[in-house]
Amino acid sequence: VTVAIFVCLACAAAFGPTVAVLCRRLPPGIATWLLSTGSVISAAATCTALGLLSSPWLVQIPLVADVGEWSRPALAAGDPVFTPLAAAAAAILAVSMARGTSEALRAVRRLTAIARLVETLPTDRELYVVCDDQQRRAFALPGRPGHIVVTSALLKALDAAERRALLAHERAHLTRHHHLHLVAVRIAAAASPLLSPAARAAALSCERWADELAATGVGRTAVAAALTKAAGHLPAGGPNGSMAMAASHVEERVQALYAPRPRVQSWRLLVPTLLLISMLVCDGDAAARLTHLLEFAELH
Amino acid sequence: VRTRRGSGDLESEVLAALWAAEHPLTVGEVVEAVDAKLAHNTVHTILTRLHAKGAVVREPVGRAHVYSPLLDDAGLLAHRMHAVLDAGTDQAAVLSQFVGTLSPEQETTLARLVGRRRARGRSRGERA
Repeated sequence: VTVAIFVCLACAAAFGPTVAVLCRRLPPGIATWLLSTGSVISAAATCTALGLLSSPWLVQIPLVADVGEWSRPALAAGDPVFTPLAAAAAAILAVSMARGTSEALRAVRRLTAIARLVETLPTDRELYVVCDDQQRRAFALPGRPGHIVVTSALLKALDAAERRALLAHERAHLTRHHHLHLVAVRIAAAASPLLSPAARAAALSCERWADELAATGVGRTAVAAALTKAAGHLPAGGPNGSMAMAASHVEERVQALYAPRPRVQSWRLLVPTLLLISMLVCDGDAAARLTHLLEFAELH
Repeated sequence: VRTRRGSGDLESEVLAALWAAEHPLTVGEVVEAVDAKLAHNTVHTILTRLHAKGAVVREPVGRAHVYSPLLDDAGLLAHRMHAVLDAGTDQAAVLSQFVGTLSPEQETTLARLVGRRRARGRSRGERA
């Protein structure tokens, strides 16, 4: 049991950093899907592995053993897991589940708050302009239909093509449901901190995806120009240090827009796919062994 | 390669152009400000629709009209919503900012705002 579980955990540990690096070389749409679904699979596989590692020990607890009608001596004889290790796995699993659940609840609360807010807006219009001549800002409010909110300062700073690029970018966030990708990857990263590089990469990847979709309509130069102008007048110093990251993202996105359009190179997907498959195979193997152990214990 | 734009997309572009302008625009000026290749009639239809929705004001100048954006109820709501998000940001953080990183205080302000809007909407509905 143990070897398979450790292989699974090793693959899960390697997945986050691997995809975070790899995603910069993939088209952003594919990268985003890989980050979100891959992270969810990886987090689920990690939790399953921890569960499988701890269950031979958990079923030896007298009450649990009685409920399952398993013979405790038989379990003890057949259990190849070192007790402190199994107990540690159970503790880590409990913490992971708690963190994942709380992040999921928080995401649901936020999305409901946004949905309620969007409900109060008239549905017959897509764009809302905030009369603010100081700050250049824009964001997308997900919903059915979604809305785009932009400040007047940003609109005044852009020319016609750049305004079209900005609207196309925000519209892409809405039509491709980027918020769901971000929520999924964040929940996965909360459950398994090994995935936090993937969560950071997903934020950039969604923006790149929206940039590329906007660029197919209005051209790469217009998107790059709009981005540069929007970032040109950033208010000095954010309260949570988000500014520096945002600024570096803009630089990276502009560079990506001036570089040739990224191509699909399927060989780059090989490593993350193999990692994900090995996680699932190892989990399956460990689960089969655990079933054997329990069947054996039931007979004695 | 330019993808075909829907009329909803064009509507947003027209509204954005009116907001970007320093003074009220005639239909011809809007065509120039959005896309010189657009038909005068198309833009006129969109402006009429925006006027009906209460997003723009129309003033007669000679035999034509000039249009300017209107800061309406929804715009005011958006303004307060925007004030809620007073953490500095840019394009890169917009989506994640709104979906992911509201502080607890921002969240309560947002919830209060929503509650007020709903109460007002209900009382308006009863009057009607």
